[in-house]
Amino acid sequence: MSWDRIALALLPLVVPIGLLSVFVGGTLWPAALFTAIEIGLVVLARRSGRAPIEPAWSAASSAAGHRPSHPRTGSVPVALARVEIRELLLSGWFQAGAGFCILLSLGVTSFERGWWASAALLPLLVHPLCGLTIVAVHRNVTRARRDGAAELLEACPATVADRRVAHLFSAVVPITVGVVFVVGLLVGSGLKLDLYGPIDIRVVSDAAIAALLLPAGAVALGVALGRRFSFALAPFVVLGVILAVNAEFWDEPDGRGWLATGTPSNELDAVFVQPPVAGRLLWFAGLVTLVVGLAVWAGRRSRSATVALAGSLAVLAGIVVSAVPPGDGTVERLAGYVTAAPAYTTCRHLTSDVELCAPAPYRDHATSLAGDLQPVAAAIPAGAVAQPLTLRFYAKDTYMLQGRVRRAVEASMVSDSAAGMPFGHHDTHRAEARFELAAAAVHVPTGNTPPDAGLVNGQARGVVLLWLAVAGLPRDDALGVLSPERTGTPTDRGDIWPSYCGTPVQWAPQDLEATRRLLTAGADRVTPVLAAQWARWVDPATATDELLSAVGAPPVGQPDQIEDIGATC
Amino acid sequence: MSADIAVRELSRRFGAVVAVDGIDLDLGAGVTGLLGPNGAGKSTLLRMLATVAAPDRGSIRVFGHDPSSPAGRLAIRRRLGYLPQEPGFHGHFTCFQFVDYVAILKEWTRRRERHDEVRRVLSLVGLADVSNRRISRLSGGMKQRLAIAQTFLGAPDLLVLDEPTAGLDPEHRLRFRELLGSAALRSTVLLSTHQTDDVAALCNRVVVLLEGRIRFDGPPAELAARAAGCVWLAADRDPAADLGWVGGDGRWRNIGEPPPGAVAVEPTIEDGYLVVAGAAHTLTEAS
Repeated sequence: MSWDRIALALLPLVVPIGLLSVFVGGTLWPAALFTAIEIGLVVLARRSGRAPIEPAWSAASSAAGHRPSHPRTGSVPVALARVEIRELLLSGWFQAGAGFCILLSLGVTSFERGWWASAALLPLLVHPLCGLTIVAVHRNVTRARRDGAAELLEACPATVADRRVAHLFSAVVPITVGVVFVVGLLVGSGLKLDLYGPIDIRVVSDAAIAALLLPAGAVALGVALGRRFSFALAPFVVLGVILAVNAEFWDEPDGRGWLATGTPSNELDAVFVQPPVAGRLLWFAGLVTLVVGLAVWAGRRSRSATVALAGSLAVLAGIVVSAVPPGDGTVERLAGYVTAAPAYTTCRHLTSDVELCAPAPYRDHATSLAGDLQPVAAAIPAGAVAQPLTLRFYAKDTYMLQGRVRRAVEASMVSDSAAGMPFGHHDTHRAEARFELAAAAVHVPTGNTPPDAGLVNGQARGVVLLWLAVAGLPRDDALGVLSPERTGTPTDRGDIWPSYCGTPVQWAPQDLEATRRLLTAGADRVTPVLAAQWARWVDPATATDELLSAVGAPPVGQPDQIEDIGATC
Repeated sequence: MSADIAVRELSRRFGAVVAVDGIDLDLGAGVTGLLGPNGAGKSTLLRMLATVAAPDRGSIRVFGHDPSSPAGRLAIRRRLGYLPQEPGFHGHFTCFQFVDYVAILKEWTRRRERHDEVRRVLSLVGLADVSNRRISRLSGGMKQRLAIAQTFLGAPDLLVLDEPTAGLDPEHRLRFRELLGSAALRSTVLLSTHQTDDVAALCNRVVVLLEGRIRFDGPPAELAARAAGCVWLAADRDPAADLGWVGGDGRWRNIGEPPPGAVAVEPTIEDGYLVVAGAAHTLTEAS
């Protein structure tokens, strides 16, 4: 490979490596080094390309050539595919798409919502790769016409169909990139962020769509487009259409939202927006078959392509027809999940004063959470709360619900004081549930509350909240949560909803210190004090130092003034 | 013995323009030169013989195969080397990659054999040393040689070359003649050119095409003979001449109807072509 080819191949990596070095490494020198290497390669390329020499012809008496042996069926497209794979790999458009994958891998740091939700984003995340693959393949397919070489190539025995099939074979390149991207992202996120929730067929399905079907479809679409529309803007027009379709379904997913290529199959949660896994896979496989058929179809002569086209159209039509909004029973059931209707919700008592409710699909998740919440519930003095506290799952947004379900939910949803966690298998639930339950016990509002409602600096109830929230945690873990430093814990900035749009609960550093002193004093001394005067300690007028005094711990003094940071988004 | 190429009543129109008008032609072994002014239909005829364009009317048989059927086209293309008038290249390919790509299209699927063949044809045209250079970095003459190289892949039985020496300097033209002369020993060659000296040097037969029709078909010497008695030298441009120019010796070479007493000289193929094509008369009228 010549220097200029190497330089060209490495060029699209300059930006991703620069961003990588800045955002990940926190330094510019790797980017500077890489840029210097790239400049060096370009200089070498220019030197090697200077002043073309005019080499002499060899003696015409060179050994006479011979004809190629008769090729085996399919061997020509396979041999051509090697060229097309090389051309796709060297395409700046394709490299930019692969670069986007790297950038997205870095950008998706909020992959903390569980395997299902994370996998559901994968089809969307490979869209830059697939979109730019369409452009690259289209340019490769129209290369001969663009370069004026069509006539020369047409006079060769290999047919245009052979060349199209070779272009289709080049799908192995984006598929490889897609597989590496998807597997790397999931495994990397799983290891780093401790994703949880089940790894089941839905995760595999979304990963397969993102890594295999969408890249394959992108190549086929590029071939089909290049065959019929050679003008350079054609793929961009198609990309615009794809974007518009996805935007349409994104805003209004309804029952067919999952038919769009980029709409997450289960943005809210797999429980509520449930495309049938097999149906969704079949839909994308049908789309790929359709565009492959369009790419190779050559009229009545191509019988297999005709069958593939007709079959895929029939399958796609069947799926569209069957993907109607859910029936009445399903609507009622899904709405019942969201509104916690008794018929669809199972509750379990953690103590006589605390219960945890969850819809049937969340039974396992609720069981897991119950283990975490039990110490918190037990730390609330018996009979302290006037009404039993109910913790349940809720839909923080309803716009991603199917249309009929959303309307049913909006019609029947009642605003109540139950605390809870948003639907989804989020790894933040364990901490959030602790704080939600503790906040409910001491009457500190969470979520969308009026300004200043979450300011508890200097208030004893804020300290009680923290003490309850860390109940049962190992001492070091509890102290870590109560660190005044920015730790990424729910107490960061005193915000117990670090990842949710709402007004946060905010403490002063002195309150965190007061909670540490309660921990030092021990539950044996703190619990009786709390039980004896619960109403006093949850009164906003009671100061932090009063509680410390009652427990026999030294005071922390006047709290810092805290400025309400308002809603987090 | 039947001809390698048999053309009957071949016609092709482009809108109102008749590019090829009812041509009958039989071609056999050896080199046939196609002469004619721009727009005479040479390239259209070659494109139809190379199976990249279809006639509106008439028939073509190449080695007995009919290019109007897919099987016939395939059979012809397997024995064809074609150089278009303006061959395009993928500029970012290297010389080797481009010829290798064409070789695959010519069904060289075994990598080692194919690479040997690519190296052979690049060597034939003297591009072996620059086989890894990108085509966009080649000079015009080198690009033309690269185009010539691909036509020789697989030692084709039929070479259809449209202005193969365009862009070649004199030395490379001579080298090309040597190469083509060797190829003609085993192939049927049809080349279109404006270089009458190439025709004189290479062709055993010449066809003059004018306005889509064949105006002359015969040996080069016979074409030259068409101007016999129509070319004379004089100290000045003869007013009776249709065309005249000053030669290197300072004397005027006049073509036309010689005046009484003019001393006729030996005509060349170029003279014969001008007489057959009537170009001399046309040029004179234009001036």
